[in-house]
Amino acid sequence: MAMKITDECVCCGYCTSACPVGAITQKNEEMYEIDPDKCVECKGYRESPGCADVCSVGCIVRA
Amino acid sequence: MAIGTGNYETDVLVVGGGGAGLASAIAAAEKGCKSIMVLEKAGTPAGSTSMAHDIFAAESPVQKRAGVDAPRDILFKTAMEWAHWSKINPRLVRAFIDKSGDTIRWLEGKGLRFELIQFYPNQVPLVRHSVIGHGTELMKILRKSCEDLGVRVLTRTRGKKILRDGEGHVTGVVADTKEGEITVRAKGVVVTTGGYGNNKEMLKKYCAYYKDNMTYDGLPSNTGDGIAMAVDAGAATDGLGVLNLHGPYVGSKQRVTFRVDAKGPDGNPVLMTLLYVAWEPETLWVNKHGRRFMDEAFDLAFFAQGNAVAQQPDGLVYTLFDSANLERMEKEGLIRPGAAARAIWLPMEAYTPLPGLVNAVRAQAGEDLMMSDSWDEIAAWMGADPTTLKTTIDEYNTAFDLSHDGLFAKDRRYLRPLRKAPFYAIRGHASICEALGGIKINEKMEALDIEDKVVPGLYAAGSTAGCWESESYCYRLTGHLVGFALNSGRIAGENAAAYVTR
Repeated sequence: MAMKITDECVCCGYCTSACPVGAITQKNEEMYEIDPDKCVECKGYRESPGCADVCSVGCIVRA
Repeated sequence: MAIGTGNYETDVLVVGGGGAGLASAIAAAEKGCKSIMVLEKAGTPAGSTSMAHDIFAAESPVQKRAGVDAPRDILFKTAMEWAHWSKINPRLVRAFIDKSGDTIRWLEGKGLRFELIQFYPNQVPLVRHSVIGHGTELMKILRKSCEDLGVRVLTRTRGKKILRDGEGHVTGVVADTKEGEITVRAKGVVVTTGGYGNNKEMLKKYCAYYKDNMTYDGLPSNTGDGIAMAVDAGAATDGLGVLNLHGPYVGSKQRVTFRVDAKGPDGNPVLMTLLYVAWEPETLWVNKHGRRFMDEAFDLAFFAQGNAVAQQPDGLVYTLFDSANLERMEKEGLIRPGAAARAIWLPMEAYTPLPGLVNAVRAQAGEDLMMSDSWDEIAAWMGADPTTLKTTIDEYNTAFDLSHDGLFAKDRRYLRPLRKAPFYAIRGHASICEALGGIKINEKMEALDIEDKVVPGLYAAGSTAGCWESESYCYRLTGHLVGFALNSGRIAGENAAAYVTR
């Protein structure tokens, strides 16, 4: 159970601010990435995964 | 959208798929140009516009329906006065403002909806067209429009060289993809690669206020590629060195968030960061020497304060408050929480109680937050002289007692004493919204050389183009960054289409 950032990422970083468990970090100048071991899909925090809700290009999906 | 391989031919080529780029591609197509391509360096044509929220416009259909009188003449004068009639090109600013109302009509026609809201208290006239669904929705609609009009888009493709023939006409662009180099032959080229906020070399070279501790809010792909390309091809630059700054900012772009027991506007629990506490107007701001440097409540707008923050020694500032103030924030909520309008994890409304805030803030003590019963200890953490810091606090407390800030004339409503321990200090700095100034253009968005002659077939728009913003974000024209991108983009696209079909 985890979210995943796809190739369409533009590296805006909004997802990091929406993550309640600190699972998202910048991988390089092109992508952010989600640590699947930390991600809980916001269960217990929000009704829907916050990263996907704030993503500026809609590139975050269920892994 | 595809990753490019091989070589291509097109009529109008747009380098950079943000707001300006897609607006110019669509405008060219709507003018009858049949073959248009867009090269985008990142994974999606989105650009900084995708991160934004608001579009400036004057005399728009939204304003007319709301009965808001926002005359182009008045807003043109406002822009020119803000710049002291210097450093910006009045014809260019006029062209942008004149087009802006029609661009809202254009976007409404594509399905976008707006809300007309204030950016700072008592703002008149209302010019901030806040996009329902933010820049994300705006760019989604522009991408859809490109698709419908048959505009070809290549992603992960970075333009690097503009080609010209023996007579000086632009003939195409060489670009890098993951698979190697490609050449796109084109009759007209529009450069819309955004600003250079992520290019430290350019920031150091051109921006007098730049400091190493500044963070950058925009996309890492904004490295000024288009400016370098255009200069290499013989274009001049104009107005380089403008920083649009926010502040005080806390920490890096990868923010540490914490949860409080309040519901946001979408019904979900609120995630906060220290940033929102550091912005509160009822706090006291000092520089690293412990001296106050501005009216913390000035215009209650983060663009209003970034420049003053940036000019403090080492670019460092400290937000100071006491326990009574933090308890007030928990009980009554923040005074301007909507500063980062996108944030779903924030309570958008001011004065939304934030249960749990006190303990959540306390748990952040460490790198950017100091908590202590002693101002001496806080002064030591800041590296400030304790006597200077205590004098500043005494003076501020006296201003509260007298209900008059004799130093910076801060609105008395926002004066609040610092008397209840423990006390808090948050370390902040300025953050770059975008670094502006770039390719020299005229009001038709044609690129100019150092003799002010048009480079035939070359256009520039958006934050890549120079000389429409003076020294700081002209927030009286709220949303003019995206506004300029879309309007200059449309004008560039229309003129490029006319040029290639002449």
